[in-house]
Amino acid sequence: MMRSSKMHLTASAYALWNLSVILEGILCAFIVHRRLWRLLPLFTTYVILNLFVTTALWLVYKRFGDNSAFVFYFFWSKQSLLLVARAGVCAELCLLAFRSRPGLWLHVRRVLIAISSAILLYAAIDAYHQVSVVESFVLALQRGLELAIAILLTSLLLIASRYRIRMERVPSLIALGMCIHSAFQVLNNTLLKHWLDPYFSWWNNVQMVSFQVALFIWLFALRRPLPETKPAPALLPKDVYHSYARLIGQRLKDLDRNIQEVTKP
Amino acid sequence: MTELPVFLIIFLILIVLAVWVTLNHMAPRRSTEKDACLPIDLLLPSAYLENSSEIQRLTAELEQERTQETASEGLRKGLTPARRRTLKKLLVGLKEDFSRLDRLMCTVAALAPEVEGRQEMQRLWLWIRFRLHYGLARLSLMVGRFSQPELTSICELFDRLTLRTQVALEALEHSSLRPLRSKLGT
Repeated sequence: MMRSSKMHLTASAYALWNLSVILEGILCAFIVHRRLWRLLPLFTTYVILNLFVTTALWLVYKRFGDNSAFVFYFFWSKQSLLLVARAGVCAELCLLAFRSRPGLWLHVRRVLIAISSAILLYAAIDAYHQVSVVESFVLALQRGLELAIAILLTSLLLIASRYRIRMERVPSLIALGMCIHSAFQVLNNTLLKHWLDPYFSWWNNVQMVSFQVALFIWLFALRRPLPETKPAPALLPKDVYHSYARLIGQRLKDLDRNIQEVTKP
Repeated sequence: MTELPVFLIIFLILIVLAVWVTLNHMAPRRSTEKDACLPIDLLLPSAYLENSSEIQRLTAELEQERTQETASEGLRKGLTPARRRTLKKLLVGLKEDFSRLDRLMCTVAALAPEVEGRQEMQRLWLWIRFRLHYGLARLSLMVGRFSQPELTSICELFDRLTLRTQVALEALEHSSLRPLRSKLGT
């Protein structure tokens, strides 16, 4: 069981831990300096919460040691709490990108909810089929949730790019950092399930390094002052979309037929 | 054990897509002349207009070869380098036309107070299909797969494009889209 002996951390893990705390502290200072809570309150909460629970976990490790059941439960509770907070940040980023586009947001929201629901269903089924209740179940569930976050954020960036919706530098880079961290977690959990089982410290190190990559991206995003909020764009009259959709839809179909004819045998 | 390769592929796709889209998104947007005059040129097949002289010459050549009753198979030219160049221009033009219209529709959808989900999904599906067909056509052209009957069918396509261009030019004279130019040009 991971609980009894495998929660042991090496010296490198402690070094990475310290580095994470320092970087998180710097990020918190940047957030306060730039007053980021005005733009992204949930992200601000997530970063402060992360700093708080990381420090708390360090103190718990010091007080109770590697083999304690309390450390085990505290560690996985911290993971779950941060995962929920990251899900909140995802929702905040989506809302921020599309809040000035009410028509498109209704459609995009349906698409993103469908994608997330499908992955969460997969995560639940995958976790249910695990033989080992504690380790495999927790790892499979965490992997599914991280996968949902990574795919959701990538979809958000792709949709914003397709519809040419200008996302500011800070939200874009926050989404990128979070996506990279979650994608690494997916791979890390897959590896731990099969091969790294006796090496909890390695798994933890990879997790911390991927989080530090995200921290560097977020620090880079906040190196300049936040741009002033632009006014929402003026919307078109209601019937323009429908008349254009018919006309352009037909022209696009014609072009597709033309190109098919070029290649027809 | 199949889990690891599957998740490795998913991981790589996610990382590449996220980095690519973010960098692309943060790069300054190029405002081309074509983008600026999009709404007014809505009906014009620019692929044909831009290469019309070359396309008309190729059409005439193919028509002549088709109607030459005495010409044997050996006399027919097939896909010469000059024809390959003209066809490539046409393909690139068709793609440009498609991209312009799709971009315009995306802009309209982003600024619309109401959007039809089904319509948007259909357009996305059409975009994926078009990109696949375009890729196949470019590949066929690269390996020189086109034979005489295929070139003849392309000739018919050119004829239709000529007809449509004439109709579109007439329609543009009485265009009601002109007032929207300033709204969408921003």
